[in-house]
Amino acid sequence: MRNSPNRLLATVFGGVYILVGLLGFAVTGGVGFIATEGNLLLGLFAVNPLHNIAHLLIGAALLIAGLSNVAAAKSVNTVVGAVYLLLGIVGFFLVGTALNILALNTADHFLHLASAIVLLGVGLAADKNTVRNTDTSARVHA
Amino acid sequence: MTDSSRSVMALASLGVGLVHLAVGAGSPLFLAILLVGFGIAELGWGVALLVRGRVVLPRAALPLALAPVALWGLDITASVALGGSGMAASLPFGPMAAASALSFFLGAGLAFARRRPPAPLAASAARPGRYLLGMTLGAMLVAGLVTPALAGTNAGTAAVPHGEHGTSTLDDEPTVHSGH
Repeated sequence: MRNSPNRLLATVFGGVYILVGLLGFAVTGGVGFIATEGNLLLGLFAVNPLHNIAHLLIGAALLIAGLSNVAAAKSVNTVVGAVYLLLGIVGFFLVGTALNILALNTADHFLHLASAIVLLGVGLAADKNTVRNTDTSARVHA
Repeated sequence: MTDSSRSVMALASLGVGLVHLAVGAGSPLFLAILLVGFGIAELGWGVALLVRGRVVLPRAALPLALAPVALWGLDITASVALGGSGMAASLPFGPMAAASALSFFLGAGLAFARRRPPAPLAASAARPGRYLLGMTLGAMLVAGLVTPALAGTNAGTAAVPHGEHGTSTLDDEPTVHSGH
């Protein structure tokens, strides 16, 4: 795992997202699923139960992929980063909707954007040779 | 040019592409077509740089990276020439200033890349921890510029606050009934 940037990143981000999801439930304990403006996690990050579930699902996908193999980690990193950025871009053209997830100046948007571009960047750029070698050896063994 | 610096250039290209798309989405039609075109090109170029690990279209990339800065300059000049102030230009000042800073960074990176031979591709595999640290710092710098820039666009002023995603919209209904 130490030799693969994608596995390292997926494992670390997966763990952090799961932790954030679990901590989020601690601060949204008395809050309804749909009748809330969200409470603040660590005094900075607005969360509600829907966000907590999204954080847990994304964290689980990243952590499982990171602990599995390079190809899975590379794919999940790329997909999570790309989907987040694409949703944000669609939101620019649908202003006033919940799809407009990038264009706010808050701590959580900064972190979401930074993590999305790191995931996409590392997913696309790193471990090319490793994945290619794995594919080739799999074909040879088949 | 190292693997990390190529990747940080790609992240900057993704960031500037996002700002140009967001500004384009709220601009007059002619400027919107140009800015959305620039935004798509910058996103595509950034992804291509990440996937291929080398600068794509090295000759065309430098003038194209700086073209949006020139467009903004023309917009301000036209605004001043028509009797207004530079701040009254069609394109929002804050987001375009942030995008221009990223464009200049890209331009400098491209000029540097022309003068240096490409480094081996395996740098990320040799020191993955260091590579990840570089990528994370680069992404935080880009996000630090891009997040407030996006908030200053039309999409930013009309955005739904984060904590309200997926919440009831009953509170948003008009309180005064129009009557029958």
